[in-house]
Amino acid sequence: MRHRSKFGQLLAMLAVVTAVAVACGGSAEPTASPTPTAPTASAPLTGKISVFAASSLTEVFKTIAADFQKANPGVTVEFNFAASSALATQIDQAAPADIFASADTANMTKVTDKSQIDGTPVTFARNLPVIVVPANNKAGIVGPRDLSKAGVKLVLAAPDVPIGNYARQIIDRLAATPEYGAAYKDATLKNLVSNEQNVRAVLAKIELGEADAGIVYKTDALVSKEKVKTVVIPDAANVIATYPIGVLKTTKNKNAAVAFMEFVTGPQGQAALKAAGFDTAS
Amino acid sequence: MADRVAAPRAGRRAWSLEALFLSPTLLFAAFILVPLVALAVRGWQDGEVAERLASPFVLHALRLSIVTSTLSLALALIFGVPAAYLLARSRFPGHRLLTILVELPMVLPPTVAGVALLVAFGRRGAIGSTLSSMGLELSFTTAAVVLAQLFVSAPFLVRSLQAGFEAIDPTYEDVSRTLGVSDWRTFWRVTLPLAWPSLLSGAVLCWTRALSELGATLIFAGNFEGRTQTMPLAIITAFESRAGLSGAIALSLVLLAVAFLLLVLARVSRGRSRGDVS
Repeated sequence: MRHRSKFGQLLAMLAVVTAVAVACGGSAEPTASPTPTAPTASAPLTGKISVFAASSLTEVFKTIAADFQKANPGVTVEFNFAASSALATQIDQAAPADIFASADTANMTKVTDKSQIDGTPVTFARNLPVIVVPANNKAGIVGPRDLSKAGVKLVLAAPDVPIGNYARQIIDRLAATPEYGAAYKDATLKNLVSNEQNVRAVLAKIELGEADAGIVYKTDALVSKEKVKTVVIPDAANVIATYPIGVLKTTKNKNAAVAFMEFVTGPQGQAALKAAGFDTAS
Repeated sequence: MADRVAAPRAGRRAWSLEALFLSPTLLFAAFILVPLVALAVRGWQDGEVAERLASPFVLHALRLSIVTSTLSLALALIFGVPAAYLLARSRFPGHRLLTILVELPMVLPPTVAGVALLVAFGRRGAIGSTLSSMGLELSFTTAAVVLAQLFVSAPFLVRSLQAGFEAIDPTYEDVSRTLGVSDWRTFWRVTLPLAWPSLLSGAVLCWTRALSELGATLIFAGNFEGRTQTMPLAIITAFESRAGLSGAIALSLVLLAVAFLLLVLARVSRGRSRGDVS
């Protein structure tokens, strides 16, 4: 009898947990429930699309998706935000993505090389890497040269993550100039204390003041402008980040996926990207 | 297992219960076995995997993992053995609270541990800011890896050992003391040897948990080859790099082999200490 009551307790606990989970799900439901408005297109789009997008797109893509869902109430947009390199590996392992939006062409090429994209990817945004430092800038970093000062703790994203790749290109370009010289690269990379998984992990380490400097996109610096300060990289040494987007061949909801992609590259999507600090495609 | 079903020890009722429980058990075993076998087969077929196994990337990560998890285990033993003994044998105010506290990291997601460690020992943390002003910074160091591992793994040792101490009949210790053996010697010569099986299984759990630590390390210690990039971090890094799945599989196979070996060793030596090898 005692055992049965214990089993009952366990069931009760499970029931409570389930009830909480259902309640949580319920509160998120309204976004998905379609409002009975007249469809704008010939046939209203329905179903779910899964968007695999670079970490730096986190806020702006959520905004764009909200606008998209207002125009297409029947469609639910789900996101998987991570480093483009991680997303490319996941897609290679047949992750159920409908759309891939990468922060560089290299990782998009990994996907197109295996002909997993329907048609050709379209460039929808550009971005600019910047140096970020904690608001108090304890290490006194005012320019790229200071990244090579002894004792500075530098964090970058891992080399295959787009921003990690761009950052290393920038360091190489600076080292190639006579003012900086080859020693700059060695001294700077000696200060590197961590290869983070994505651009937002770099940003977090700077926000927390754990590291003295990092390289992220200017749009990331805008996202946390109270906590970090931006130090500009000279144009001559900087690289422009290019964001391609494409619909996957394996999509089960091609109409909605294409519509979302067109929305991103269309006037509303471009306006949202501009508002978030991105440079638009054209 | 089939023999047991065919030749039940206790009547028909037990037989039907065993038969009833057999299919979920087999399914469960298959559920664990299939991914591991798939990993091994993929590793065997993928030529790149063998190539990656010998790369410095893998060797650095393996060395760092073994060093840090061993250090974590050593620290867990130094602090955990006394804690487990006190929790098992003494009753003091706050005993129950301390028991819960010790168990807390076991149920806490490691990422929470990472954030908590950062807030405490990070540069601007409660303790970290003082340490930092003394010129001692933990984040992004190997020491931070050990702290993260210790935080999440030590409770496994304490829990197991506490249960082991509790199961020992105090009469043995009383006899030892009445024979004039000091408390200290009694602990080493009587109590600890009697608790050996639970010490061993606790140590193995603690060690393997430290070996597999990812979330807390990633947040608190960062990811740098040779310094803070342990095997699990290297797996994530490989997975997200151009090496892709091949690198991740190579590292996973190494970690799987190490973990399996540890468990088998623990089983064998525990069996020995009990006088049977089963």
